[in-house]
Amino acid sequence: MDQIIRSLPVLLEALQQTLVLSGLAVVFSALLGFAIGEVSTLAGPVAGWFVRRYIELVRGIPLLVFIFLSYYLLPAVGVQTEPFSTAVMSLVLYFSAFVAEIVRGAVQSIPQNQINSGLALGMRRLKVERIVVLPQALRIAVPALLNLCSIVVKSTSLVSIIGVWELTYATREIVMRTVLPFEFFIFAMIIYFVVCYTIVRASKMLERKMALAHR
Amino acid sequence: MEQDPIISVRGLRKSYADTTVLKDLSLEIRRGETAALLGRSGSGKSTLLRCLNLLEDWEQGEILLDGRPLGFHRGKDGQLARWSARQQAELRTRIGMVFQQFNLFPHMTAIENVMVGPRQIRYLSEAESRVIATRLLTQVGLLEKSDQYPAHLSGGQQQRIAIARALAMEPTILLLDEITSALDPELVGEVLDVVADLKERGLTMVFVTHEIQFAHDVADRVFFLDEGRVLESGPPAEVLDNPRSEQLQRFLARFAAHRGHRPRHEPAASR
Repeated sequence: MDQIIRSLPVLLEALQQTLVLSGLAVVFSALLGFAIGEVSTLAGPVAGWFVRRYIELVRGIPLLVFIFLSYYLLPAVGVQTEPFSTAVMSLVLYFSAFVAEIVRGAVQSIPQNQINSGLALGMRRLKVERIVVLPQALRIAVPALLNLCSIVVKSTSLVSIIGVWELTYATREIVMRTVLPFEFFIFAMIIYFVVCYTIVRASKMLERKMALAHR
Repeated sequence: MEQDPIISVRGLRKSYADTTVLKDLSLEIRRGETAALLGRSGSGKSTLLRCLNLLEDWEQGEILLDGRPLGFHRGKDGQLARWSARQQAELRTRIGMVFQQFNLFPHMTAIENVMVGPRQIRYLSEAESRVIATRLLTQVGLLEKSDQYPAHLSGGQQQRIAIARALAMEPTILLLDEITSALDPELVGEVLDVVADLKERGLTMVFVTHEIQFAHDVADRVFFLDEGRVLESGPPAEVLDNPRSEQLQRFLARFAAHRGHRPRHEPAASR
């Protein structure tokens, strides 16, 4: 216990790093994934085909392999980055495919009748998307997206493998120094759990609130 | 009523993969008239309406609106060129459409549904849009439901709001596609009342319906479609009371047999 209290400032700093990493990954995956998902439904069959192949490809690769690949591939193609940026980039590229898939599914679940209704009023297709389709689709997508959020937070632990200092990396450092693996890994586990559980609870609350606003 | 046609359909042909839905279909709709399209399912009525609103393409023939071709214009090279998305959208602001399944936007309240056209397409202010929507909700008798979401309204109420939503664009023509087919029988009357009221206001309307009695009472002319063609047309008293073709006789007989003689359309007590 004493050891944990002594390490607390370091662990909190590491947690902050994990949260920054997660935050960046979530925000940029959301933006990129949303764009990819929309393109795959709006931009015609050819673009849609490529996007679906990209999504399938990424979904079939383990994240750890994806991180290693980015770590070695980016410098090889001339992009000089630090581990932290590499980590953010690989998380974003990876999870944006999942966001895209969620967005695409939600958008496609909106009946064609809704789109025709907007068109019949005299809206252009993009306006139909903005005013009719997306407000409904995003409502459908929110639970799955928040679920993905908590997966992103947990996945940031993997980037410790390419030397990014965050909660898991810091815990391993402390464990090596103190030789107290159980105490510190359990402590790290609790921190991860609290963060993810908060997201899950928030998602449930949001879901209920939206259901109320809707009906 | 003026006699010049507002819509002329000439030799329209349209087919899906292996079936021809419209075969050389021609008809004229006069300004300010109420026209009913009747026919068995698959006779091409709804497809025709969707063509009039450019929600559907056709292969041959043309549709003239006020004498000008719909959906195409003659390019500099003399060839017919398809309208741009902007031109299509502009046309749809002038031709309103109400669907069988109402298709209200479920994430908007009743009044927001009616305001969306004025606000987002006509770019009127929030306040102006609200004034228009309030007037139209009053006209269809649903002002007190303004802040309800569609899920909380009956089918008849949703359909009346869908009509108000279309009217908010101030269209010159209103297309009504089997607007009572998805309704419980006791809710049909309230929607038909709204349509009868619009007729009084002189709006040009084209409706597809299975309510023979309503077509009889409200339409100025009926068109009986059979296998993608207009088989009989004229004032309802002529066409429906003295069907000449065997097909129309059978069609009307089936309605009499299946539905019994509907009572004449009575205004609903609620309005």
